[in-house]
Amino acid sequence: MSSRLYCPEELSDLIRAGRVFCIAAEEQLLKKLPRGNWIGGSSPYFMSDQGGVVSREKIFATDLTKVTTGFNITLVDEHELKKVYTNTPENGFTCLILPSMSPVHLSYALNASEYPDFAFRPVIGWVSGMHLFDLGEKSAKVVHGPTGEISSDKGVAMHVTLPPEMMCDIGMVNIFKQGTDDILEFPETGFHAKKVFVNGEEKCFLDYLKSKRLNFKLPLIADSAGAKVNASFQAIDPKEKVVKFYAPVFKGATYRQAELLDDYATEFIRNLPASSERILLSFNCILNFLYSELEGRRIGSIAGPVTFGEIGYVLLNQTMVYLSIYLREEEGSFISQSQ
Amino acid sequence: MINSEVGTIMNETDSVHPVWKKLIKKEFSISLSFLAGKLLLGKLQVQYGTEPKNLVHLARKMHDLYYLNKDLPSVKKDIELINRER
Repeated sequence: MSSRLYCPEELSDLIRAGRVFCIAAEEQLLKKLPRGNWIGGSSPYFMSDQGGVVSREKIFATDLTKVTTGFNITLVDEHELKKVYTNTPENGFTCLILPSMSPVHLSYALNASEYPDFAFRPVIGWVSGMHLFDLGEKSAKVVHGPTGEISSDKGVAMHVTLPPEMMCDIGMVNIFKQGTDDILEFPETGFHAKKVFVNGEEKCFLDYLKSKRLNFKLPLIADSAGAKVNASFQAIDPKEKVVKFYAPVFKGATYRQAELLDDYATEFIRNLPASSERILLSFNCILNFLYSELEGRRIGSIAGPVTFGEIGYVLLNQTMVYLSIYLREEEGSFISQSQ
Repeated sequence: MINSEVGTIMNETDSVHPVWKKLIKKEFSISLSFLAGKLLLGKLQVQYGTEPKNLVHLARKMHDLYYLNKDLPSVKKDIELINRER
């Protein structure tokens, strides 16, 4: 398998051998890895072939060596981030990791669709985080493998060129459907909201949530030509009467709360891609991990970091994103043949 | 290959077949598979709402995204659906 959990020593040997990796692990493990051809982000939560795992000792890594004819690894500030699509190779993709609640995370969330070449080059990735026990104590990190530089305010990008016979596509699993209840519109774009227009009538959003007794596990959903974009509830501040989200709500977008699910975990597993053999990278939201109670539970052979946000051209939330590799002029899988 | 399958809606030199304008104008509704296509279409439909005079440019952009990715299975699926609306 190209994606799996490693012991630090085993992965260090492979990095020293020059292999190319996307890596997720606790910060103290990332710091110990040797310099090399890799990018990393902090998270102790993973989906492995044995099921959901929380580990402060293991490292999750995807070996990209066999799909890479060239790569460029850079730390990106807000200015560089704007070029993330333009800098993605014509036949390739970018894997982008942004630290949770950093300036680059917020900037990408709000502006990605306005960056040059948006949607024309595949950009996939994830928002790094920390163990939930460490919330408020630690900050999310990314690591630039070639130098070992660690950052909590910049992102890290690996621009990958695929061999000419390969091509890639990004998919998204979003188990939610827009409900049929009130239409919600927000007067401001942002990660929090005080006011909302409910079917055109302005209200205090927190008062509205309380009066409707809305289920916080169910995100608000905007429909972008069939792409369902979630804004998941993070917290409420009763004193300030502010509702906080994991991803921004956008002025001008029309939201409805998601329909109630019969069973979160069943629905999640039912919506997974039928075949995982083409999937090279996947990133699954920590809310799916928690609400589907995935720890110790296997979901096919899809493996990847569990994240504080997903990137599939834009910032996504409460989804799973994945990158599939196809051979040109051929429907068969290459991964099972070449790994 | 794609042109023989879907007629002239995908053409490198003539990218503004009316079907792409109809898509931007929401004159028909289809369930797209290509994630980049969905996200770009959502953006272009909003832009069309505020700048309808740019329709040709917006339609060309949508076409170009699909032309660039014409070998992907999700794009082939979408093209087949869009072609039915010609």
